[in-house]
Amino acid sequence: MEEAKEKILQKLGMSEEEVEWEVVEEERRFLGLLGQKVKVRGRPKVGLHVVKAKSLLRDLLKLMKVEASINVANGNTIVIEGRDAGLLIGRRGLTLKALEEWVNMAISKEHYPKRVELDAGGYKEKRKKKLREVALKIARKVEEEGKAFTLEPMAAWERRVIHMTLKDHPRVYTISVGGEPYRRVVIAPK
Amino acid sequence: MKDLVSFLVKSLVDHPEEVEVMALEGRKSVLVEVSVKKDDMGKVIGRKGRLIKAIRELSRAAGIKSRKKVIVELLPLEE
Repeated sequence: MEEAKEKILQKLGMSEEEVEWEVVEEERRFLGLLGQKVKVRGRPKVGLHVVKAKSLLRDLLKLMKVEASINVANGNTIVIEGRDAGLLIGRRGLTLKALEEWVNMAISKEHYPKRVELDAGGYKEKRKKKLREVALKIARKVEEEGKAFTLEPMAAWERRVIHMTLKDHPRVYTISVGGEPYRRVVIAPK
Repeated sequence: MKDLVSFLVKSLVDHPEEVEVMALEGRKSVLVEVSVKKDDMGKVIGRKGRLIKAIRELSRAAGIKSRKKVIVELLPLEE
């Protein structure tokens, strides 16, 4: 049984808890005297595009001589943790963005239409928290002064955090202006 | 560094068997020249140069460990 599981895991490049198991058929040979033959089926709990992305990232990190572990957090998010995670973030998340760009194009070439999201060393998690704080603080300022405020240029996912944070705000609204990579969010009174 | 750039590029092109990589390693820098089939140039460059930029960024990050500056040049394969 363990042997069969091991084979499947190796083929998928996944860890035990990322796969759902099912015993398909159990066959005792000569009343179990000659041992048991078990057929198990392993189905990945995550999408195949995530499996592919993970295996590409594992090969890449090895070539980069980066020591880090790669895990699937939830759905489409792959999380990289470890001693060298910082190296993969880069200044203002630039390296992480490059990694995401590359891995998504590589999996789409293999005909997986869905994208994966990456995080390293908790960078995006921390940044999201910070952005939510900024959004609320500036919204208060806009409300008090009755004047629109333009934030600094941000990546698309960062702007989305600002928009989502303030989408139900009763007295301010948000809009993006300018072209990439200098696109900025404006917070304005309603 | 050569293997890294080769892997990054081969995962993007339609003809990975026709990717040639040459590296010149100095004490403080590495020059990597990648040649791909003409039809594959666009695949490696990407929309608005996004992918070649990503490849350069990842190579640069990999060079930090060995304290080397990495230069990646992309060329069409000579027919």
